[in-house]
Amino acid sequence: MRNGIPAAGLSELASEIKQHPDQGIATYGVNVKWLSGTRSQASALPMQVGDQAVNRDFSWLIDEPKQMGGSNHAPNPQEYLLSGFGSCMMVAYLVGASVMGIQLAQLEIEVRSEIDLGGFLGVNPAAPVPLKGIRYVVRVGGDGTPEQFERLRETAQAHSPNAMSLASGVAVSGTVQML
Amino acid sequence: MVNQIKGDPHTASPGVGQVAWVSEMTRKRQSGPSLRLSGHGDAPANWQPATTAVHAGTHDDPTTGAVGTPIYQTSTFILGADQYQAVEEGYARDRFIYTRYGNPSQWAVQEKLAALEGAESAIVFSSGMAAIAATVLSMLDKGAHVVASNELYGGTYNLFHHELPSLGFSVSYVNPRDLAAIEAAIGPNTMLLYFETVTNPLLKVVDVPALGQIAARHKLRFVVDATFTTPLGMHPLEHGAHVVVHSCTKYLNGHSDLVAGVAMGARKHIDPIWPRLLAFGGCLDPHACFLLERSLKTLPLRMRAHAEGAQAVAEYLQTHPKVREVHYPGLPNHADHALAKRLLNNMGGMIAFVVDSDAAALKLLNSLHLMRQATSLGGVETLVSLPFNTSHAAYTADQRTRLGIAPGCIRLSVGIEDPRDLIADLAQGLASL
Repeated sequence: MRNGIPAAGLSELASEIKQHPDQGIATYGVNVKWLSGTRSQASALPMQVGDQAVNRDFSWLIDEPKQMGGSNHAPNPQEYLLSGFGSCMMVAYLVGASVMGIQLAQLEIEVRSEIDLGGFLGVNPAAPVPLKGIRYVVRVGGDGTPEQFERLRETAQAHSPNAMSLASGVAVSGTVQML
Repeated sequence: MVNQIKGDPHTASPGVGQVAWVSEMTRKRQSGPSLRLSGHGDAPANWQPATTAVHAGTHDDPTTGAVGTPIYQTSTFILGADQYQAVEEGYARDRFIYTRYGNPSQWAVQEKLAALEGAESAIVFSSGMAAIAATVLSMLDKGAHVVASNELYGGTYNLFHHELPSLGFSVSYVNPRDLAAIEAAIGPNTMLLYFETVTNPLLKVVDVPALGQIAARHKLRFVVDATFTTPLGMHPLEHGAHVVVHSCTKYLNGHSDLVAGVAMGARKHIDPIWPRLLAFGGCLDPHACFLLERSLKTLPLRMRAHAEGAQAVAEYLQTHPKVREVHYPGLPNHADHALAKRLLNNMGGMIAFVVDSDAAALKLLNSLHLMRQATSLGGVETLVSLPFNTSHAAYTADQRTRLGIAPGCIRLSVGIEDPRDLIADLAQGLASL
């Protein structure tokens, strides 16, 4: 299969969701548990895709570098955020290339950002708490033209749920439960 | 020749290379794959089972006009641009490439089986267990949990009990008729309910529609082994099952001369099984496909004879003073008779009955002249076996008693012989006790 992506299956899924929109609803979750200090462990919760429950037996560690009070035992939350952006962009890029009939040889997406700790620590009212923008570069090799690869980048960004969540912002809400 | 479609002519490229995004592609799922050669269009939906059994899937040879599906005894197919494109774009199941992937003999019998079952799609396998293994493993993700019957067929139990844990899956075994216990066994990592339509050997009828509702409520996949009931008895897909599996070795082939299995359901649920057919390799040989297809043409006739014969034999047995119990869902005094009448269009040919002891049961078997002492079931010839030394030999006597299998329990697979001859054989055998 070109790029390991089943184009026919994607078309069939799209057709199914067009007819039955509820089959296109995927619900996710993670549970992040404090281990010690800045270290925590995230576990994926069972997922639902359309009418099917999908088990997610995956967990991963998160930490902060020593400079931010951690032990530097795992990537930090910002790196997970950027990897969530980059990997979602990559899926969209692969899907787009595959339906356009472009065979990829190599594909990397480098994502960079920065934060001002003055914002997190509240010591500088002028310092923003959010990331100061996200910049990425797609490094790609394959049988497409430079114009096709650039159009693909735009299409991938426009269809990537994570990219668009960051670009347009989504509502965040929370509550507290006592243990 | 090189560029013509060698496969399902109703399926085509989704439009790769012509589109910029998925929403512009045009391919939809459809029934099959099929050569669309049976010449009957969509008629099978309106046929009675006896007509479907003869005509669905079967096609005449387009070159010679020979009546009936030719045997495509080949391992491989001449490739052209169309097949290469199908591989690249992910619809290789719709083309002939290699017999492990698909073969016209497989497609013909798959189409007939799917039409009988009311399914969009089917895959035949080299055994019932190959069908079950590929189906179950296509539906489980890492760390998943299965809720299954505690009276499973022994081969399935071995797969679930010995193999699935090695792969990191867990299984809870529950009474298939205790809906509350089934629901209580469902956990956050449960992905699959796996049950059989009728239990072996005591022929307790399982409420498949109620299980289908539980599966839907918990968004679980639901697989039903309908080997004992056949498509003539019940269509589990109409009651919420996602995939139905059968050992075709039994009633579907019915002549005790081949081993095969099948998984059937919506194309959406069968397509993900296909890569497991390729990976685990349990494809069905074209000659066996021919035999199975030929046998299926008489399935409705045979099932009628099995059920009529079993009813007569069961009625005889329950009047015999040396028979303690008779289990046949067609008997009005069977505990599940009302449920069986609601769910089953054919009561099948399986009977369990109980004599004084396992020793008496063995003596009876050894004095039968007509009935063959053999395991398996669903053949034209009546087979008789003892659960204690065959299907349930791995259990202790106490365990068998807890499952309701009393000492002296005999399993009878009533064939299509004249029941008067079967009754005469049983009469002389019982007289020896």
